[in-house]
Amino acid sequence: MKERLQQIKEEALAVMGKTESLGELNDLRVKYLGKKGLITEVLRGMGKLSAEERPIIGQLANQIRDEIENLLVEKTESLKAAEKSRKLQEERIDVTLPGRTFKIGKKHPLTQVMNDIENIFISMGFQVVKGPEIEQDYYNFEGLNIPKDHPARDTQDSFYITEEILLRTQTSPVQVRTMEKNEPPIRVIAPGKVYRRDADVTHSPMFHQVEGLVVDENISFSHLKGVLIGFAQRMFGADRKIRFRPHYFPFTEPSAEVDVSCIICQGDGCRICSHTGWLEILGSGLVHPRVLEMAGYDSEKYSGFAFGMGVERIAMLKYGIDDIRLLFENDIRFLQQF
Amino acid sequence: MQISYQWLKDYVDFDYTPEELAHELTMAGFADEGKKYLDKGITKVVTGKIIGLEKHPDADRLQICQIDVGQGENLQIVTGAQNVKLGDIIPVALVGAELPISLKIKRSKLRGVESTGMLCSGQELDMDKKILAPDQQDGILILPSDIPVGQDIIEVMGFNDVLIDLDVTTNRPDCLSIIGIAREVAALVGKKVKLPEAKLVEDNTQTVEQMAKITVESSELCPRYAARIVKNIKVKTSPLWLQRKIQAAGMRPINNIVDITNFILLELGQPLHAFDLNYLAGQEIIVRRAQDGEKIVTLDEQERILTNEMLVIADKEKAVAIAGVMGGLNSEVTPETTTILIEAANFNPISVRKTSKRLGLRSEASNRFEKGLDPNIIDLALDRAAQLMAELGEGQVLEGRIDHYPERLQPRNITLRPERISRLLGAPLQAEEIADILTRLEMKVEKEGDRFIVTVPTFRLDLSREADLLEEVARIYGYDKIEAATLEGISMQGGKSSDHYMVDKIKDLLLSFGLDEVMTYSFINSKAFDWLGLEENDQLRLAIPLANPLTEEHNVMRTTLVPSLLQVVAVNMAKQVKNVEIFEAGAVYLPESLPLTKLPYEQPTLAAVVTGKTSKTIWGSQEEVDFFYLKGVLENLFANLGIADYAFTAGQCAYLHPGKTAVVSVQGEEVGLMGEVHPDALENYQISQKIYLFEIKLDKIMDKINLVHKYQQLPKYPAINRDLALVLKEEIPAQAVEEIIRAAGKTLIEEISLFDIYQGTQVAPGHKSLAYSIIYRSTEKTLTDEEINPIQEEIIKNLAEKLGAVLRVQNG
Repeated sequence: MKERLQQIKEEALAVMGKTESLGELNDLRVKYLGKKGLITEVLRGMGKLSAEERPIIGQLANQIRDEIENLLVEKTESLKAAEKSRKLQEERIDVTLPGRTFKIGKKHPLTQVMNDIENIFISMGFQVVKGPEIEQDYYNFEGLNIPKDHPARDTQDSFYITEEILLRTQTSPVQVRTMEKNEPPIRVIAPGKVYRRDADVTHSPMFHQVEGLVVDENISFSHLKGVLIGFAQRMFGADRKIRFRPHYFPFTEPSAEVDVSCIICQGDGCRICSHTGWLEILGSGLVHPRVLEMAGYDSEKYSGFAFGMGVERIAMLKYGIDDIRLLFENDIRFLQQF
Repeated sequence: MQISYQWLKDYVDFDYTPEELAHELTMAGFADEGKKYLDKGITKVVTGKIIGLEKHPDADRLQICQIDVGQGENLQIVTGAQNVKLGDIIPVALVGAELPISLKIKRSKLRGVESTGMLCSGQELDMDKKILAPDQQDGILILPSDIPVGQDIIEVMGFNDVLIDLDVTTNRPDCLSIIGIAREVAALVGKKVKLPEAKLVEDNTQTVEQMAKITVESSELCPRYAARIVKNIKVKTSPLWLQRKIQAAGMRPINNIVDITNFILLELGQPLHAFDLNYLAGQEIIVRRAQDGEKIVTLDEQERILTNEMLVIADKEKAVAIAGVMGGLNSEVTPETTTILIEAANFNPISVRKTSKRLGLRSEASNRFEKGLDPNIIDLALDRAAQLMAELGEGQVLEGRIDHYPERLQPRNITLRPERISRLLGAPLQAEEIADILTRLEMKVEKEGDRFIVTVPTFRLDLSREADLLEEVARIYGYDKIEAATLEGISMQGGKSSDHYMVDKIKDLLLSFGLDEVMTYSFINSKAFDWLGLEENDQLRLAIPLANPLTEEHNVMRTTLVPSLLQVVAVNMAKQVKNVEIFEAGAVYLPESLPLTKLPYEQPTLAAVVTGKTSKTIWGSQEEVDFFYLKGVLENLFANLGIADYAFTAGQCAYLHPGKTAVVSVQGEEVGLMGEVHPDALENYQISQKIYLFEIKLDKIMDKINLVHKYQQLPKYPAINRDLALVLKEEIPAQAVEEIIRAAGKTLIEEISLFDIYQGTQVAPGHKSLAYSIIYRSTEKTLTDEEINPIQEEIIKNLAEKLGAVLRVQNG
């Protein structure tokens, strides 16, 4: 019987070594270890053995069963692992195929720039206000100290609707409207569309401005500088140089143009800055006392400053756009770039 | 205003380099808009005299010149120029010379003839064509015959100069002159300006009154009119120095008389006019208003028709000049002129401005008069012009001048509080510093307690109140020296109005759905209303016309965003961009009536257009957009804005497909339209693919937006899902089915969703099949079939009774 058991063991180990599938392995388990299996069969015949032999054979049989069992488990695991790895191998994909596309719409570049400007001023305590685009001559000009036949009207060739109603040429009328409706302190910006009769690569008959107005007691030119330097550095970079130079606007006195060092050439001089090293980005000044008086404010008690900037110009500088008309043509391939 | 650096030095002493000067003036309010270095790139060019001239034996268009350049030996130069003649003094580029046009001169042979140099044209010396005499624009620059040979052209022409183009703001007409800029420089460096003097020698054998009479009829438009007469004049070419001054300012020399008037204009800023006295009928000048319809041919040879609003200078018979704008051809100075009447006048700025605008005629004179000039400069200007004319024209100035100046302009006094100046500037300026700055600007400062009484010279007409002086102090002190400060006082809360915030939110949502934002002009072509196929009486046609549109394409203010967006699609189609999903949020302009008497309502409006394939793709299998794609956009928008009670009902609109038009309403109020664009409209916009659009009046939905979110408990009990497939007549709207289902299910229905719609062989003609998935759920317990079955039965019963719908039985 001993021999029989050894024979079974050797046979089982040999066959299992060659087995390649889990199904076969299961069959072998039944064949050797099952209720009607070969080992069981040997054990059944133990009754014929002597009392001395019985424990020895029993022990041997159990030992062989354990060996076969261990090998079965081991073999099963290795086959399972092989199969899993084969399956993973089969599921392999071409990772270089393109991803599924889903388009996010793009905010118009002018809206983006306007939002940037708005957010900077909101953080400085400014309220964003609006005014009508179709405006009375009074608010667009006269209330801003630009009477009829003032030469300054020439630089802003207007679209008229009637003698007294026109498309606003600037966002400045919102200054007058704001002062008429509110008492100081005032701290507002007014973004919006404005219109002038001019069309070429740098001029559009419709464009956007952001106007600003601060009125309170004891507002001085140094506040104007503080606010606008703060704005310009956040908008164009903290390392920008900023300069204020005198200019003329009928509704401010003194008036100042604000330049930043050229963002293209860093101030060395290039085509974009007309070789001056500076880019003009906004106009500003202390509110003319006459403008305060016309709005019903006491110009002795209150002072203020105002500023205005062109959104297109800033957008064109920021994105390197050389033709303003691209902004209003709305070619999808253009819009998707921002 | 283009300023010559060297010329400026005649009037004020300063040490600035041209670059420093440009910078200092920029920082004082006269921005440097570009510099021109006249000697740039010019070497080895000298004056020469043509002492021999013969035709080239082998070339018709070439001439062989023998040139004396003062070197003992003459140069032989072959030229193609046709405007040179024997004896001419011309610029000669020697061998080895460099010219600004990046040309280096070499010894060469032209058709076999040796040529050792080149004759130069003005343009080859970088002189602008417009400052050259017509006959020299395309030929060699001919210099006056008294110029010696062998001189460096840079010396002769004064090319060792820099022209600085300064931006002079409209409030400073006094600085449209060398003397004005010199005054600014003088203030900056603390020196006195050197005014030119008129050294006039009068011929006292005859007085001006004996020869001419002047009457000013319209004093209100002409505060001052002065004149002098110069006789026995010779009209000829100006000396080179005078020509060069005129050219430095970008003007073209004409003859000595005209050039002198321009010289004074540039030097002192006072426009002058020279009349040929012999052409003034009755030797008389009358300053009067024009008669309506009166005609005059101006110096530019254009006939101008005048009105009674305009001021003219006339003789006994006719107008001879438009006051302050342009002279007439009929009294122009010609080479034969011998007697000149020099006009130096001051005209009402508004009148000149109106006249010039009305006639569309601008001139150096009108540009200055319309901004307001100091009438007191006339004394110097007139005498200096007369003196120069007598000198350069070899004539005599008659004794005296005629001067109509009833009210001499007196210097103005302005009270100034030094303390207020430093407070408003936020700079620690001492009273003495302020007084010093004002004095440097030629103002007189007298102390009166803690105030200053400042006397402003009459050439500073722009200064009338304290604020004006504030600016003067600030700009001479230097804006850069004023420290920046942060805003103090009560802290203020920044932000946007809720409407503004909502519009931002709406834009963000549409962007997240894949639509691009566009921006289009607020004005459109009024023909767009025809292209949309609107009825004659359609309210949208009530659009505000522009009185002076730039083009007919943009002649009315839009009453709808639709034409602008269709235009954007058309532009993209033309560039082969076929997939367009866009929106715009902007105003439409709705007048109460026309012509406009009060401001229109600017209605905030939102419109979107989609066409082509959707933005969501799976390799090569894009879906075409359709009505329901765009409806989904709008529904999603509403859902995310917390707008619940909205409806789409079939409607009509001229520019939409009659079977694919929905009226959109929210809480029972109509807020807009959506649909497929009518094929006729598409054809008018030359678009060949289907377009879907919506347009929503934003003001109508603003108060219906609800962005307040409140947590609702998540469901605790399981749901029961039932499907329902129905067959019904195709004209029955799906909305009716949903309403019946919801009515029967009451609060137990959590969601109804359509998952299939079918029309075809499987259902009877004229019918459709709709398949719904209904989710039932209770917030209180687990529902059972026993509770749901009766509801389902009631739904089916109601659908059958009210809509004639039957359950669809699947084949097989």
